Amino acid sequence: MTKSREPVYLLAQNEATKSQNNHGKIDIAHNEKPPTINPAKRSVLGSSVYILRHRKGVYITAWVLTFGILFLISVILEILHISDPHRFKTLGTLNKFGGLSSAMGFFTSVAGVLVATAGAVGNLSAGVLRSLVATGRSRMSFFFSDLVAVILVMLQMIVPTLVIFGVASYLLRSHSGFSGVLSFAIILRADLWVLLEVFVWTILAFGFANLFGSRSIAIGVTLLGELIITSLLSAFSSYPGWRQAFVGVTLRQIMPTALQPGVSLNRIETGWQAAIVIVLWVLGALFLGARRAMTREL
Amino acid sequence: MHNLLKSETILNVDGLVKSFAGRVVVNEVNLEVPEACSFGYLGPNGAGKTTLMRVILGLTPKDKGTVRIGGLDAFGNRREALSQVGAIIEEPRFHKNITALANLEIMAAARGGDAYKRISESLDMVELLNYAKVKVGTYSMGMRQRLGIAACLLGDPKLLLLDEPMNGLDPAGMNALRDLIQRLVEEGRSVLLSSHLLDEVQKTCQYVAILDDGKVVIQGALNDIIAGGNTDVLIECNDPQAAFSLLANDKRILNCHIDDAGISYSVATDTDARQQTGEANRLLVENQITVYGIIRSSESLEKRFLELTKKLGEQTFGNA
Repeated sequence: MTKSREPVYLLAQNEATKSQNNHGKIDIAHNEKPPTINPAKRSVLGSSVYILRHRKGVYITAWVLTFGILFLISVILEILHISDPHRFKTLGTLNKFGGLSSAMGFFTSVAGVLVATAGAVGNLSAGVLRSLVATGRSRMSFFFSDLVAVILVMLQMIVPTLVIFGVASYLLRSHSGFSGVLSFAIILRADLWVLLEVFVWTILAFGFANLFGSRSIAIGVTLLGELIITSLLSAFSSYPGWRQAFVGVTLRQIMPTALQPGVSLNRIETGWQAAIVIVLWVLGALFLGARRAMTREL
Repeated sequence: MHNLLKSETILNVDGLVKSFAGRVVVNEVNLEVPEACSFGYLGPNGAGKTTLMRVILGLTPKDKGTVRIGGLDAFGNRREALSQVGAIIEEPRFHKNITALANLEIMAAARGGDAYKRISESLDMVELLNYAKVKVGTYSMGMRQRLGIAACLLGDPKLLLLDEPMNGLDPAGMNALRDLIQRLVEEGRSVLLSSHLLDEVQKTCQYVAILDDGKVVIQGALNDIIAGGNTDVLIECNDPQAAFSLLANDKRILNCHIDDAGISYSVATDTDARQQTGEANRLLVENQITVYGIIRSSESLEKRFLELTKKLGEQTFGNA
C-alpha cells in the first residue's frame, strides 16, 4: 500500500452484531484474532487450472467418463472371461482392445467437451472475466491460458487411463483366432488415435464455447457433430469427398485398422488429407473463438 | 470545461464518445479527476455512467476520444495505465465455489508482479481476514462488496473506479463503505464512484460531475456546485399580499409565490439570500407586517441535480 495506516475496523463491527445465518449466510464471529494466511503466488495458467479443477461436478464427471466407465466395462469383461473363458474372450484380444479403445475415444471426448466448455467460459459466466481484463492483461493471454489449462487437465485424466488400460491389455494379451495378437505398436497407435480424437473434439468445443459465450450451446453443437452428424455421414456406404471434409468422419476413418477388424471403410486417399481437414477444423474453431473473445463486450 | 482547483489529476477523459446501435450513450465527455479525492459521477439510470467506466477499462471499445490515467494513454499503453486502477463494474463477481483467498490469488495472478503479497493487507483493510478461507458463495452482499474492494487494492491503485458501490447495501454497509472510501482517499488514492444515490454521494464525495443524456453538464467541487444553485426562502407573515407587493421590486427574487402561510421565493445564491432576507425582514416590519418566521433552505445535491438535468418537476428517478 502507498502509505502506512492503522487497520480500519468498519463493517466487521457492524456486521458482527447481526447473524446472517437465517439466509444461509455465514455467522460472523466476534472479536476473533485474524488468522494468518499465506497467499500463494499463482500464474495465470495456474489460476485457470485451479478454477477448472474446482469445478467439482465437471471434474468428477470427466473422471467417470474417462476412467470410471472403462474400468467398470473392463472389470465386467474380465469377470465374464474368468467365469466362462471359452465363450468370453479376455481384454487382451485385439477385438476387445479395439472396442475398448473406441469406447475410450468416445467417452473421453465427451469428457473433453465438458471440461473444455467449462474452461472456456468459466470466468465469463462467473462474471470474473471483466475484473481480470480490467487489470490490463490482454484477453488473448486468458484465452490461451484457459486452452492450455483444459489440455493439461485432460492429459492428467487421459494419460493414466491410457497407460493403465494399455498395460492391462498387454499383460492379458492373447490370440483371438483370426485377428492377430495385440502388440506394443498396436497399443501405441491406438493410444495416439484416442488422444487425437479426444483433443480434436476438446479444442473444437473450446473454440465453440468462446464463440457462443455459452457452455450449453457449445456442448450441444459439439456433441451434435460428434454423435449425430458423424454417425449419419459414416453410415453411408460410399463417401463422396465433401463428407470427408467433416472432421468426425475423418477421425473415424483414420482409426487404426487393427482396431476395427472386419470393418471395411472407404479410406481417404492420404494421411495428408486427413491432417489438412483436422488442422483446418481445429484452427478454424480456435480462430473464431479467439476473435469473439477479443471483441466481446464485457 | 470547469477547471478543478487541484493541479494534479489522476484521470483525464477528453471528448470521449461511445454509441450503441446509433444511440450515443457517452457524448463528448470531458472529465478531470484530481489526485487523492472522492469523485462522484452522477446520472440517472441509463445516462452512461457504467459505459464510461467500461470504456476507460477497455471492456468495450470507444468511438473516439482519449483517456489518460496518471498521464498514460489508457488505450495505447493499456497495461501500464490500468496497473494504476482498481475497478468494480456493476457488482463485484467472484467464483462462488472457491474461497475468497483463492479468488484474490487469481486476481493477483492477472495483476502479476507482487500483487499476491498484498492479499493479506487488502483483506485486513476491508475486515475480511477472518473469512479469507470461506467460500465466496456464503458471503453476504456487503461482504462481497468489500471483497471487491480488496481485489481492487491488490494492484496498489492510485485510482479506484466503483460503479454503484452502494447498491444492495444496508445502512450499516453504506456507512462502512463511506468510511472506507474516506480512508482510501486519506491514503492518497482517488475514488471515482458512479451513483444515482445523491444523498450518499453528498456525504461521501468531495467532487462531482453530473451527467445528463451522456453529457457532463457540470463538474467541480461539491460545495461549489451546490452553492451555485438557488436558495429557497419562505417568509411567514400576517399579510402575504402586502408583503408580496413590498418585495415585488427586489430584482434578486425569483419565482415568488403567495400562499396561506406567507410568501415563498428563490434567490440566486446563498450569499445574496442572507442579505436579502435580512433586508426583507426589516422592510416588512417597518411596514407594519408581522413576520412570524423566515426559513432559508440551501440547495441539496438532489435539487441541484434535478435542476441541471432538467428533471425538476418530474418524478424523481428511482432505482433500476
